Amino acid sequence: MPDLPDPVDLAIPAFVALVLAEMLVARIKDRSRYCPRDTLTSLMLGFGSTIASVLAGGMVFALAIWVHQFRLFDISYAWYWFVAAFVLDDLAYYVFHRSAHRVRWFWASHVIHHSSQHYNLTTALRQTWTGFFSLGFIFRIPLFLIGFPQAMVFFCAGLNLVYQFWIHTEVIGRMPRWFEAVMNTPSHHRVHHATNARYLDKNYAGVFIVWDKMFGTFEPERDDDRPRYGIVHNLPDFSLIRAAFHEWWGIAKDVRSAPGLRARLGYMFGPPGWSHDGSRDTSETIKARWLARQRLSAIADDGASPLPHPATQRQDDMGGRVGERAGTA
Amino acid sequence: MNGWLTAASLAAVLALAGIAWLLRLGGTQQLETGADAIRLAEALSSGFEGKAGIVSTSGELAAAAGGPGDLVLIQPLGARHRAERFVGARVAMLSEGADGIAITLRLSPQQMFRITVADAVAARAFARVLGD
Repeated sequence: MPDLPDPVDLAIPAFVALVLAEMLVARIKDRSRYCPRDTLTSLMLGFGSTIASVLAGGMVFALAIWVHQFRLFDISYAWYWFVAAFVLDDLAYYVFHRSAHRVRWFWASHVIHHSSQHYNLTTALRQTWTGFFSLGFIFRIPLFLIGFPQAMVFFCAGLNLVYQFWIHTEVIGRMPRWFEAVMNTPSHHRVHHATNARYLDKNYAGVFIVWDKMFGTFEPERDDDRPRYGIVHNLPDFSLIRAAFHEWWGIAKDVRSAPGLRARLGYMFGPPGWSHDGSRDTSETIKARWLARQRLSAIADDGASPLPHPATQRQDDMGGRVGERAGTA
Repeated sequence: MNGWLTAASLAAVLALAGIAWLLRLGGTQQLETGADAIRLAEALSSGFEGKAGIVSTSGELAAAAGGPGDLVLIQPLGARHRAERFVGARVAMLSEGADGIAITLRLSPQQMFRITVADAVAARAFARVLGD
């Protein structure tokens, strides 16, 4: 087994240099892109995450070794297997990431990464402390079962993480079209971090944006709907503990007061915002309300409705809209 | 990750945060009009639909009313804002002063909040929507 380095460790000096460069750009162009307290919180959360990874890494590696004994194939360290592992690992990341936004148990761990109202390179380093507890690593188990060696998978996962660093910036507008078509970019990932209703639960990709295009979760960034960053219920302060654990605390409170097993399971494994009495907002209800407002304002603006409803669709042979005709009859 | 790398990482974290502070990054985004307050309240508070908004004379605080008792209060949080929604809020007092109209809000039986607004018309419209 070759002794593969940890790409994240090697990339740390570049991370520091690029954050510094982005700060200098922010100083010249727009100081509000950075906030010192938010920066400190993001970087300390990243630092804490590396400590948590070291503590849990041994157990995850042991699990990978155990699973690997049931592998379907014996895969070598040839270069083309690295390529295959990188692509499949990115697919596994897509599945993990989508689950991390759609299942509250995984969201409780992932929310930390979205909890800043800023979008800069330090946001990339704002990583979870509770990834091991949330069992997010199970999404990579299929790769070990296929037969990819543990070291190869963890090496590719490290490369994936390093790639995702540079896309957390507002300094870069859009990349060349061919690149935007295939790869995850700052523009695509700004959409992912946005709380605008249009952008909620979109662009889960790690490296290749093609997964979102294949599975129907792609949304391009629009110049007329600038992303607003953060989470639906933003944190009230810069506390590290609150950022790391607030959703876990929320789950515990909800499970404790839930009426019955079904509700308890819903609060743990339902989508974020799910409630047994429907009193809270999920991304679906937020989108539905936004769409309803869009439609109403479109009708108010020029009478041209995007509603696919016969009462508001244009019926030229009847002299206009059905609704209009009925109203004037 | 070895001990040396851990220590170096922590030093880099503190150094970068210090540099952000030395570069005077951040600041508070100023709000100007009631429309700004409504837009921000709707963006930060899911499901809220604002009808009247006010901004403090400092441009840092704002509030938006969505109907009787429905209030979103906006306060600075670093270079951004945080919003808190109150149901059952009321205008407790409205008093004119040299620098504008001071609105005292009763957010809850135990919680009051005061905001001074330069735009008298916006302040009265806000008070009418929120109710007293």
